[in-house]
Amino acid sequence: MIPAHAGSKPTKESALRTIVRINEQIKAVIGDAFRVRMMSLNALILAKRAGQSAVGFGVLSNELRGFASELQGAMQGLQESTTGLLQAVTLNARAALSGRILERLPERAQRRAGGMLARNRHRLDDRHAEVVHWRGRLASILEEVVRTVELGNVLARSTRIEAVYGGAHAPALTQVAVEFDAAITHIRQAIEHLRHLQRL
Amino acid sequence: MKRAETIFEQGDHRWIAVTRDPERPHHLIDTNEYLIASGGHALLCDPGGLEIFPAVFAAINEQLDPSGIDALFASHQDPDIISSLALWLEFKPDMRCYTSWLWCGFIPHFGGDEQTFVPIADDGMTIKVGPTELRAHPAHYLHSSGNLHLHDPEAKLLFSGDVGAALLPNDESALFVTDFDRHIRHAEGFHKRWMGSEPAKRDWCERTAKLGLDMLCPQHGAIYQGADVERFINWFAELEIGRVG
Repeated sequence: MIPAHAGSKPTKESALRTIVRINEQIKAVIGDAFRVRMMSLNALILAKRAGQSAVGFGVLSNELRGFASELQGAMQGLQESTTGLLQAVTLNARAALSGRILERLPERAQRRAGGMLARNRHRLDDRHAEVVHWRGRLASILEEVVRTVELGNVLARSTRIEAVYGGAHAPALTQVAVEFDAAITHIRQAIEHLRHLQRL
Repeated sequence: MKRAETIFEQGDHRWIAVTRDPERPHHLIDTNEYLIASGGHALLCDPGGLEIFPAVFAAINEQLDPSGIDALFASHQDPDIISSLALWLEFKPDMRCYTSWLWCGFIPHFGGDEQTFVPIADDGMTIKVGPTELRAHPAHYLHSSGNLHLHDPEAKLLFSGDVGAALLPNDESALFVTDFDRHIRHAEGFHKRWMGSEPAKRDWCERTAKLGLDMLCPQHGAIYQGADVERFINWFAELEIGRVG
């Protein structure tokens, strides 16, 4: 998880650094999803050429194209959540910094600045709640993405089976199916890494 | 902790100098803040950086209720001048900040909104603190391109920002300059490097010499008083500035 009181204890990786790493992974998955879309278009053309023997392969390729679009959309949702999280973490860090500076006020001055201290504590609570909100949203979208990618994985594996029935085009269809499989495996690894980062 | 000392008092018209803090972390440049109070109102000159807010606030609190501070005056835009702005506004959200028009789009990066800033034109302006009228005294290019000092004609005091500043050793914490020749050695390198415009310097020296000041109160180092004010102006007029090394 992203530390709620980011910036207050620099012992772990900072929340901002984690967000940057999450965003880099998201960009990588968006790139992979685009690649799967292009591959599925090529696969559809190939299946058309192969005719009746590659009807199943064509259906799966079309499903993979839809999967890639869905994945791209979900990853863009994740990007929006990381932007919200980034803003919340930054404001939280600012409120925490003000809090740390105000703690240094001597007791008599603290009494005079009482309203100010209370407001800052209130603000820190609000910021913390915002961080928790965005963190929860990120986690929830990520779990949906995991399910989407599992579907993509099943589709990619199925293309390998369908490729076998491609007659004279079987070797070419198998090559495409292997590439689908490799791309989805890469996406699954990236999503696992994202889940790990999100728990930091 | 910083200490706050009254350097001028006539009825309820006071100048309080919040000066050197021997306990401050030495990687921060030491600063002076000046509070001008009159008729139940107060204005704080160059309130300082974010890190020293507790020390400044506590020192002022020993002398008077900080709730009486209606306004801040920022001589220019540097972080040691005004980066505590957000915390002062946290304490009192309707506090105003007087500064050169040049910095009204820059200083808000430290905090504040459209209501906070009162832009000062290049030729200065009159600022009222209760019944007392202060005059923003142009000091552009000394060192900032939009730089203002604050003159109190009644008290005969000038808050002179970085002009007159001295980077004193940590064990020298006198409020006033006592040995001009010894003191000015700590000011020389600073003025040569930070002050970049010879015409601006000459113009400032001519105008300031006519003010008939009793004290010249810089943002760093000790305060010049009596004959040392004229001595400083003459020294500065002769100094070759805009030099590296």
